[in-house]
Amino acid sequence: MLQNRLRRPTLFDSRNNRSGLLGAFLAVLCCGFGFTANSSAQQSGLFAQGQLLPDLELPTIDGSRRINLAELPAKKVLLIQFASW
Amino acid sequence: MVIGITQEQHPQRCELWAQWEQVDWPILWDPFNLTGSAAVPIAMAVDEHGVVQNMRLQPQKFEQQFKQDFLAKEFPAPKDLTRRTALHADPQIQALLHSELNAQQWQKALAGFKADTKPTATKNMQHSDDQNAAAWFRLGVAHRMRYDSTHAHADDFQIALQSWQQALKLNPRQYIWRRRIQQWGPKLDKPYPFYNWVSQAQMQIKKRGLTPIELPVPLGAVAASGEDGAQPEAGVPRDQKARIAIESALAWQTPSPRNSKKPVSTARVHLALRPDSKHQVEWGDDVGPVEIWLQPMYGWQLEQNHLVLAADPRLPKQRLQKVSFEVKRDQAASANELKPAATVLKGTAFYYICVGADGECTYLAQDFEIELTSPAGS
Repeated sequence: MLQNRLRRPTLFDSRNNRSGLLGAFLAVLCCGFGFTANSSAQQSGLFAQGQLLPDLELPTIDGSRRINLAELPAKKVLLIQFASW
Repeated sequence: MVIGITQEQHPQRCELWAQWEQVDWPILWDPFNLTGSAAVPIAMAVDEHGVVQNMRLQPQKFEQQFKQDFLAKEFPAPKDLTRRTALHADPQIQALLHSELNAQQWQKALAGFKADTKPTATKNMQHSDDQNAAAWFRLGVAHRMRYDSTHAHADDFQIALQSWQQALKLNPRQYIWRRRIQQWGPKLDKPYPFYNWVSQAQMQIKKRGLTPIELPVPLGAVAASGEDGAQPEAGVPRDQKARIAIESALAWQTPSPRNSKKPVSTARVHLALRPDSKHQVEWGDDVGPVEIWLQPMYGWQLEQNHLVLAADPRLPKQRLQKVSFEVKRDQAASANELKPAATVLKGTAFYYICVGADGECTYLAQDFEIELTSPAGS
């Protein structure tokens, strides 16, 4: 939905941990339209604040690999659920 | 690191978006909504131990929430190591996510998805209803996947829409499921124009000297051009051998989550014309386009009654041709008890086709009927 696109940093780089992460977030927010059912909710489906990520393995959108959320490297993660509609 | 999870039926659309936005972080594909989330977007901060520390990151508070409160902090290892488990290990889901199935495998998989929709007796009725609703959603996803494959059945798309409607009836506040229906439904049922960024994305990607990711499945509902003109003469021979199969699916507007019992009045009708591949039937694009005439119906308004599909000799000659249009119940006529509204939409398709290796070409017509029964039966 183009009319709701915010002005945002051009081409974030996820290797640049500061502006890159915000860029990723804003890019998705512009296109991943929908709305959170409850802005203060601490649980959504399999995810809950204070709990480990679920055991959930999914393919990537290009089908090149599979990633299990329970087996991510020991790093801080920005996890974004969205849709490009 | 950044990871995305997209809640879409067709991953290529998100691939195109990622190509346009030059995204270099992995995006996972969750067509079955295994995460169980009811709406998007949701952004979460997950610590180095895999614990979700913040479920509701907001762009206007990102500096504080993510950079200061999260990135700069060290978190203790969790004491509770239990994890929720998704259905990804289910063999049926694995097969559809990762494999190409043959006709028999599709049949077996869909039987399994159908079996899952039977209500299970548990002490927790709400849990049972929620599981049942999710099973209906997954059944719809599976049928739509088969419809997009080379093993499509004529009614796969309609069954997908009906399964999603059933899921939404059981859980009206599931907006992921609602959007899955709405992208195929009437224009007025859409909260915003879906995928309206695609043309611009394709143009800008080409300007970079790249080839845009191909979208094998058309975006939602596309209407054909409607031109004035007389319907061809009644003497056009009928396609007795069904060289072209006409398939239909109705996408009704989704009921309001606040009043799901209110009858719905508008639907988008999807037609697909499938050449008989066994007899090497091909479109006669060189000669003329497919034209469809719809008969006016008492009690209904038709968006168009004459549809003309694009004829392009450069397109594959055995392609599935698709078109859609809207029908809307005429409320005033519907209230007339002396003359009930029609319940069947009738139309005729006219087309040029060529059959067999010798390419004998002919102009044929085929009459069709579509039952207009809304999900509420009204």
